[in-house]
Amino acid sequence: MSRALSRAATTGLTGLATAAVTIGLTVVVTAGPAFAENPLGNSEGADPGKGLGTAAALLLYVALPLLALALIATVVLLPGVRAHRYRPSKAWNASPVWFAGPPEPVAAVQAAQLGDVVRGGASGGW
Amino acid sequence: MEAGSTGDDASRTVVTGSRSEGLSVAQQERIEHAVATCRAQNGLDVSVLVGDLVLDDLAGFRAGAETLHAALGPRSHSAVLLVVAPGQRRVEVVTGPAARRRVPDRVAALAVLSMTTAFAGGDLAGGVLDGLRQISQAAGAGPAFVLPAAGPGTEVATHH
Repeated sequence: MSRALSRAATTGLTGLATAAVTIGLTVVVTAGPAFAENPLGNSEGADPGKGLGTAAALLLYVALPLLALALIATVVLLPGVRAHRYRPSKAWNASPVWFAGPPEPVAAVQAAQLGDVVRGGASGGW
Repeated sequence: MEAGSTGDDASRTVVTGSRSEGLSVAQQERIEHAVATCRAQNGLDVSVLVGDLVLDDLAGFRAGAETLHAALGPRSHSAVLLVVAPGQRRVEVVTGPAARRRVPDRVAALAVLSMTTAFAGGDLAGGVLDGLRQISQAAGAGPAFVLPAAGPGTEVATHH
């Protein structure tokens, strides 16, 4: 029982060691060219230049993203900008609008006389 | 029969429960433009009411729409009225006796069909425009009709 356990441990350790050596070697070997002497002079990155500075870094990585977030949120949430969408399942509470209706709609409707007229048309629901 | 004024102005941001927004200004302008075009190019007096009717029973919807048509006064004889009740999910096309010759019931039924299809998909303004287009195409060309008094796009609620 304990022998089987130790064998398993040994196998695991061997695997771990192999992995570590392989990864380490790969990194060192592939990074080799970076240390090579450049006959053409310094390549990019050799002269990093001035640092960004705390204020500029805050502006670039904190203030600007927050500003963009606020801008997008405003555009999305603004009632006038958002598309007016009618939802058939919801109640309709907006006040009625009569296009090319009578000048005084309420008075006209109250005074309306159906008369002896046959009206045509069609009905529908959804 | 009275067109109901149960809600606030669409431009006001008062939120009460599951309040739906009314037609946007742009949508109202498009409908207004389509109505005016139909008057000018087809000579057909078209009127559109978007809003729920104050009714005890939805069975009286047709009668309510006919009353609204009668409210157009002397115009009504040759006028076409579209009543769209978004909350009650009913649409009605009412034609006066003279208008019926240019817009037969068969055409009105087709317009209603395309309108209900758009409305069921949530496209209120598009459906109204579709219906107007079908009706004006069926009516054909005619001498321009001039609206007697002021006011395309009257907010019913503002008149008391």
